Amino acid sequence: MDFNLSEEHLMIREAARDFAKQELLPGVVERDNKQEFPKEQVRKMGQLGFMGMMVDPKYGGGGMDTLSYAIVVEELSKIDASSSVIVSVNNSLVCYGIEQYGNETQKQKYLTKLATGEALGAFCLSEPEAGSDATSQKTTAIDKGDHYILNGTKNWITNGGSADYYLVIAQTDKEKGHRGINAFIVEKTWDGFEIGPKEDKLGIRGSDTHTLNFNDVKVPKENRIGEDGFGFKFAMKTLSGGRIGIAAQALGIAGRSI
Amino acid sequence: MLAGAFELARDYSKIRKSFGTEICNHQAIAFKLADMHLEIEAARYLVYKSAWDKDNGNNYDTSSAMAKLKASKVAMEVSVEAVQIHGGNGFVKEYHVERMMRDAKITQIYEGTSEIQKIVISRSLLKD
Repeated sequence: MDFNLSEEHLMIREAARDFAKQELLPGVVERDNKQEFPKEQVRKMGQLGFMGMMVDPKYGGGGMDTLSYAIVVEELSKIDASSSVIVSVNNSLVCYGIEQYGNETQKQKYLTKLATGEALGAFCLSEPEAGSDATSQKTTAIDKGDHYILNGTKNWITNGGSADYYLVIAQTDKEKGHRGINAFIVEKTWDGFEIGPKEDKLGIRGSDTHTLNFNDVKVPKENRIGEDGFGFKFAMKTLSGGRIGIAAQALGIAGRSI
Repeated sequence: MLAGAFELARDYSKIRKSFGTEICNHQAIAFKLADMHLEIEAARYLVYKSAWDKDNGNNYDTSSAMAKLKASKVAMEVSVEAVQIHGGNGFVKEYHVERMMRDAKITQIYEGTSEIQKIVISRSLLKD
């Protein structure tokens, strides 16, 4: 049992600490006041490799371990928890979800852009009447052969207005309960995808949180993640890793104590 | 250097004076710092352990729920105390701790509320 961080972990911590001090600290109060998304800062974090830290380098990621990732989120959160949640969602929900459960085509098409920070991701599970109660999905995706037709509303979506790709959890067969749920990769530019107004929040005001509406959005079948009915398990498994990111964020807000 | 609620509060307590001395010399403040430090350390071990579980191929459903439940509670409590230690300045935006207090709250809500984490943890304890 070793409680010491490795040389590599100490180095990544130093890099994150320097970045937070130099790039996140300037303007952090103003971004909070104005609810301004840290667009430039996110771009720079992509260049530094913070947006796809755990992703295999062959998809453009950093190939680092989860501890490195937690340390980076912790460091960023000490100064700007709005920026760190953008990192957390992209890394541990979107990139992880696609890398772990997506197919090769999906990885080549989406993960390579998400991991490098070229594109930003969002994870869409919560609904007006289904927050943590994930089995009560009202968003539907009806199987039309080679595509699905997606309808419904998602709430409190982090990166809601700024993302390019959205992982959307929807019900495909009500009769099957949690086995009738699927996850899809949806692109922002598709017809029928509408981004609602930005929420005016108590905290993490620099991150943009939106309601999203899906009105007859045509989703190609190749954008479903995993086998038919895998969506609920996908959401639960992915959220397990997401919790580590948010826990690290909370740790950073509480502040250094070593 | 700005680095989370605890550090800001500790640094402030070494500068701000009341009753003729820096407020960190009052046990009321020093004990707060001790409690905050203790809770952050406890939370850190849970968070790093859960990351370690994931890196080592262990199941991390429960350890990540424990990490999030504890760390988010600590973030909330520590940031509230950090504002208190700052007194009137804690209520002013340029001192950062009020923002951290506001930011902390969401960590108990999103990606599974604290109540949901307790469901995850208790189920893992009770399954045969």
